[in-house]
Amino acid sequence: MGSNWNDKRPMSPHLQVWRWHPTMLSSILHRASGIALFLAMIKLSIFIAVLAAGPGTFMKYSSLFYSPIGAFGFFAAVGILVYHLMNGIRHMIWDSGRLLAPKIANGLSIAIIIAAAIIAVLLTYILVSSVGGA
Amino acid sequence: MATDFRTPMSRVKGHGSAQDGTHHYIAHRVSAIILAITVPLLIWGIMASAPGGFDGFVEYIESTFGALVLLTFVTAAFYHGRSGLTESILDYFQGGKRMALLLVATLVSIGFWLLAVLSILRIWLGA
Repeated sequence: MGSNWNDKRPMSPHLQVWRWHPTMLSSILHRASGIALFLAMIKLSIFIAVLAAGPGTFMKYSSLFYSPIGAFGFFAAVGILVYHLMNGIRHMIWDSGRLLAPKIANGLSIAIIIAAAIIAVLLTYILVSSVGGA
Repeated sequence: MATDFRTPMSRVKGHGSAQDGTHHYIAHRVSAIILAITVPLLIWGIMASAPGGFDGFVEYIESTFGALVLLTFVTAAFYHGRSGLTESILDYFQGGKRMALLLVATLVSIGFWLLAVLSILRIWLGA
């Protein structure tokens, strides 16, 4: 389709000609986190299926669930989930026409990324310490 | 009076509205609201169950509240996830590849949703 287009000037705002800014980063992250969460949903389904298969099957994999890999998996999934959740709520506020001023929109983008990271660290810390104490 | 203002060329190319954009937009947001309510409950459920190991998780799903939260969550999540994947696939792929990916997204969503639902019901009914 665009094969015989000779004009070197950019036709539309492609990623490589844009200066990175926070709302652009959060838009890309929203899409990427959504796709990652779909994969996490597949893993959650398998986890519930392992649970339904009975204690024998669960015990076979429980050393994986209760390992640093399991803790990291929880950290990553919860961090991405909380990010996507907060950014999604912001998208719905944006749909109503509010909070769209560039300064506020950019500030919130950074704030949501930082808040998601802090919440993920806190929840993982609480989880690991409660499991360790049991 | 003419009511169709499209050029013959645009009609031949088949470009234009598919008429279901509003439904997609609203359904995506309604499922998002359901997820916004169930996600905190789900995270709390996982964190409260994890120290109890196998028994902890099973006890959570055996309680009607836990089963209800999980069933609502996985249903809304696979609906919302398929809706979002569809959006991304339509943005980046054309032709046969697009059709194949849309089909894969649909089949994977339905398959793993059913796996989750059956597993939850099996545990809940076994209580």
